Amino acid sequence: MDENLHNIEDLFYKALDDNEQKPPANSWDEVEKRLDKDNIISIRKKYTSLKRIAILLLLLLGISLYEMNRMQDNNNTKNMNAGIALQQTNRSINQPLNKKGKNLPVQSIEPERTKLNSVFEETGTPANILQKIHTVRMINSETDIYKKQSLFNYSLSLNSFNKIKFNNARIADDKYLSIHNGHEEVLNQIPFYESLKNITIENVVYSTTSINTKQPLPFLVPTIKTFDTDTRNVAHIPKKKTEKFSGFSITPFFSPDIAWYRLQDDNQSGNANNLESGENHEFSSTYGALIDYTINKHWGIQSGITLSNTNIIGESEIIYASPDNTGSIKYQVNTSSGYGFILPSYSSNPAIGDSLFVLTSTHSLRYIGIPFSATYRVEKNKFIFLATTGMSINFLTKARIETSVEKGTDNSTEKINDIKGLKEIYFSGLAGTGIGYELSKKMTLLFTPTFRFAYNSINKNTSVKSYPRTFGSAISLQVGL
Amino acid sequence: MASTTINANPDDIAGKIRELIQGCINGDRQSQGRLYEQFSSKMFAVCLRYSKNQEEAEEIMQEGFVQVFKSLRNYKYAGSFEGWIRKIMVYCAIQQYRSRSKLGLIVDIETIQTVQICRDDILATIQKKELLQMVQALPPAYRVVFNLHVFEGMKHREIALELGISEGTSKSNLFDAKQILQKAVTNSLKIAKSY
Repeated sequence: MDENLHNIEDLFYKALDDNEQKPPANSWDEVEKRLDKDNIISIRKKYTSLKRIAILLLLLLGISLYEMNRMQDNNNTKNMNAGIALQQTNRSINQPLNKKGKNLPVQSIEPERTKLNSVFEETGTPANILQKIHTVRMINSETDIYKKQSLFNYSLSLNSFNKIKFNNARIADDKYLSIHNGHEEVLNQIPFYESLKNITIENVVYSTTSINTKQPLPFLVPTIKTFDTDTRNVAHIPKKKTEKFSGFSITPFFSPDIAWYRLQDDNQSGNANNLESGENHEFSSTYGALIDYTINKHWGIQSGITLSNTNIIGESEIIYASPDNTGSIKYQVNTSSGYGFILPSYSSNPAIGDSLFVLTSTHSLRYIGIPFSATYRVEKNKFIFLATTGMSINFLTKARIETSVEKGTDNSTEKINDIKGLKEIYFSGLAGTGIGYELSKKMTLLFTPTFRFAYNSINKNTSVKSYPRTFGSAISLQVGL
Repeated sequence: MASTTINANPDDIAGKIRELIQGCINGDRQSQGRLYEQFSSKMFAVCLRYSKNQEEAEEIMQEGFVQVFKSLRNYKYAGSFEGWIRKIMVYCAIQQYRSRSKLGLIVDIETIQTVQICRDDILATIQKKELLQMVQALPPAYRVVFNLHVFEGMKHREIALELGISEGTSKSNLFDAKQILQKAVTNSLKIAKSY
């Protein structure tokens, strides 16, 4: 009986082992359909990332254009208002009160814009005449209405010194733009007001392009208020309330990232291409808190701590047994980040070259980063535009591979908490831009798309070197300290 | 699809197959078609042995070739390329078996009559196609064990590991499968003699 059974094995083996049978003609069509379908899915996956980037860029472009238009409209409106204001007299909301609470008499000097322009025209058209005009206040002046003519004629000379305080005043000429902010100067070339003591100029921009520097400086002002000599108390004049900041701010942030690797094949074996096409980056993120220090109006430096997570899923593949670092024979799982060894609990000692079918393998990396960056910011109304560039040192804190392998009729999950071939530290650069909205004096909501790229590979002793790259859109809240 | 056959010395064949593989990795559909044409007949025969009918074999083979094209980049050019493809086909067949019937099996093998078999005689009498049908007629659990043991040369320990069954079950399934096949061969011979 047993011999018969053995013969049965032999019989069937000889008859069927080298058998060939042509499959139906339409079978290849079905394979092609499947391949096309897989290609479409693969292309969709590839373009999903590009779509996300494109949407973000469009969003940023849209916001920027909207803001630029809005600011231009505001400027136009202000200029128009300024023109109207020139024709108006005279009461100011800043008009001081006497002790009885009544308004003190105020004389307003109307600036003669037309006249001033004509003066410029006589000497040549300046490149930048006037961009913004706000307020000029003359305090404790005994001026009268006729003297204002002298202010704009600026050809007179006076006998006494006058103190002029500049607030946010900008003077442009051919060569440079000088900013006068919060300081006082003694200019004896405007002293046609004999009793003039103080002038506060805010946001006055004028050009000296065609002005003979020996001549007194030209002023262009929409409204000049002169107060009664009794009104000596400067405290009556409202000042801008300025809150003093330490210069430091803290910015907690969260950034969902689009992540990918730039793979470099050291020995041109094609392994990089294999890994690239066999893996898909899943949801990655970066979060943390940054400390900003404002150096001046535009520049600041930034540091802090970040945590980044990267998850990469590998497609099904056959893996082979090979000796690990201790000489034990285990199945080797290769990934773009590194490699690991698994030995399923149900598996007895495999021989070198034995294979195992892996359904999926997911590996995840976690890094703690310490960034150092410089920021440049421009504020427009309540909006803030900023650009950031810098670098980060990243420390590996977790590396894990999770594989799903076949175990009989079920699947078994095998985990490796040690990925070989990974460096403990790598350096990366970062560059980003952003837009923010000032919620209050101390709080700003920021949206900062940032591109991060590794300077050096994250691997060691591997033929394929991986350089992580991410594009993230961070949402953050900056809180002044 | 143009039919192509690689007729040359072994080095040329290896070179051409390497070229085909590279084309397939690059996603060249023509290369994929040629590779399919080259190996589909052999692989279809393998799949037929693991299936109960032609439709099921087609499914396995199609899935197998899709996996082959997806996994080609992992092929290390070590060992026979045909063997590598065949291994994938077998994996797909096992996968198919797992996803399908897990039904228990009651087979009456008490009534099996045995005769002394002479292989050459049988092969002269029974067509290969008929033998294939006998294998296909086996219950799935028997069929897969029979195939893995007889054609893939796997030991019961390996089969048990692969299918998630005990070694005893593997041995038992193989024994029963062979008895059924023996009975089928005997019956077939009887019918043949009666003509």
